Amino acid sequence: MNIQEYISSGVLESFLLGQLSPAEEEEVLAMAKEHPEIREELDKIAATFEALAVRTAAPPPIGLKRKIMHQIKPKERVRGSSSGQTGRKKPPASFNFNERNFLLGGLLLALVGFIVVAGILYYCKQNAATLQGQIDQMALTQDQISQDNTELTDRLDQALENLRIMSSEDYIKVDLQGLPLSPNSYAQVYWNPDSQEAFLRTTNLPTPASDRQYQLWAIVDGNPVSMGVFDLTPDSLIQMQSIDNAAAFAITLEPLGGVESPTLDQMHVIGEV
Amino acid sequence: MEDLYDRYGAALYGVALRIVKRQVFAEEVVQDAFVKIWKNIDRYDSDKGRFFTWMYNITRNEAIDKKRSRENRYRDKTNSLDTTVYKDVPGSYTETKVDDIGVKNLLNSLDDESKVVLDMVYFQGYTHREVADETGKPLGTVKTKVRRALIKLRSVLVKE
Repeated sequence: MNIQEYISSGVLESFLLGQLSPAEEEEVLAMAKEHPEIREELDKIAATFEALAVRTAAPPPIGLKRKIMHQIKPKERVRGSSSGQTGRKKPPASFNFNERNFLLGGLLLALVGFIVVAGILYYCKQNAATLQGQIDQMALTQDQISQDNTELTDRLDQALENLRIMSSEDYIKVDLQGLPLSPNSYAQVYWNPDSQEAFLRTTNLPTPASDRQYQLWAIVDGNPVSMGVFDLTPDSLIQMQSIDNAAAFAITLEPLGGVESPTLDQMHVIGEV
Repeated sequence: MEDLYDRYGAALYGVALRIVKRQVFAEEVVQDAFVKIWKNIDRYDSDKGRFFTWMYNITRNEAIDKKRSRENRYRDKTNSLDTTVYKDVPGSYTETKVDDIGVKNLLNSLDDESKVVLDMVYFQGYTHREVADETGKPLGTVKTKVRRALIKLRSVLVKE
């Protein structure tokens, strides 16, 4: 068969993608051995696969490496200790136990006994080291779990607090609707006129450029009063500065850190109380 | 093993993610694949190709198995509500949706047909045979298309 034809048939790609039967694989390997051009082409295709995969890599979740290492490590440790077990026991030497070398026999017996005891001690020690390693590993896992747990509890508390505010009758819910600048934008303010506390929910606002920040305003007696700048956190309420006598709320996009008075043409949403 | 992960983890995760589509599954796939790689490392045969190719195929097979088992489990409960969630069962591959931006840019240098074929074979884990059945093209054509597309990409990748 013509080698160029063989190469261009696509069989090498199938081979590298593991799509051939064992017999076909053998054939490709034999061909590659016989013809250096085929070997070279295989290497080139494999290099392309690799470059392609590296080029289209996706960052794995942060915890994945730990999980994998976790699954692998304990075994590595057990493997290491099993070699220690082989020196544990010496097969008892066959010796003639007659009166003449009674003393020698006794000594030998003592020696064998000593080796056995030493072996057992060594084995125990190795075992203890393995166990200690496993305990350390578990402690680490437990730390991680309790850390995760704390984090989850915090988030749950936060969610419950949000729910309490959103469903409370003390809070007035003000819908802030999108203006022509950003018609799909939408946010809500939960405001308690008695305690003056105000919470913001940024349901749908476009992500700002890195040198910009959103700023919440209240309209009090016809004048805008800043209630602070904020970053988008769609899954949680944000507590803003308390305000009295608000008639309306609005959000503008401003330079980082906010401004004294709102840039009116950067107003994204507004809503009346 | 740790070095291996640092070096290839992201590449293999990308491979898995494109086949199983969801991060949770891709994470499981890469985890299983690395454990397999670690357990079978003495079975790697350098005659058969690069080390990466070996790892790549282990990951790919894990991902394809995962995808199939998801699909089978899904078929068992045909009446479930989320019918629209897993659309990508083989047989329903009607249009390419190359949704990964990195891949998209890379494939832009190819013509449409090569794009579809390469995407199915390399990124989605279809076999040449499945692609042939799916697209109605002869198996030989599919193979040469994949090959030409790879050669073209090779020049792009090498340039960078």
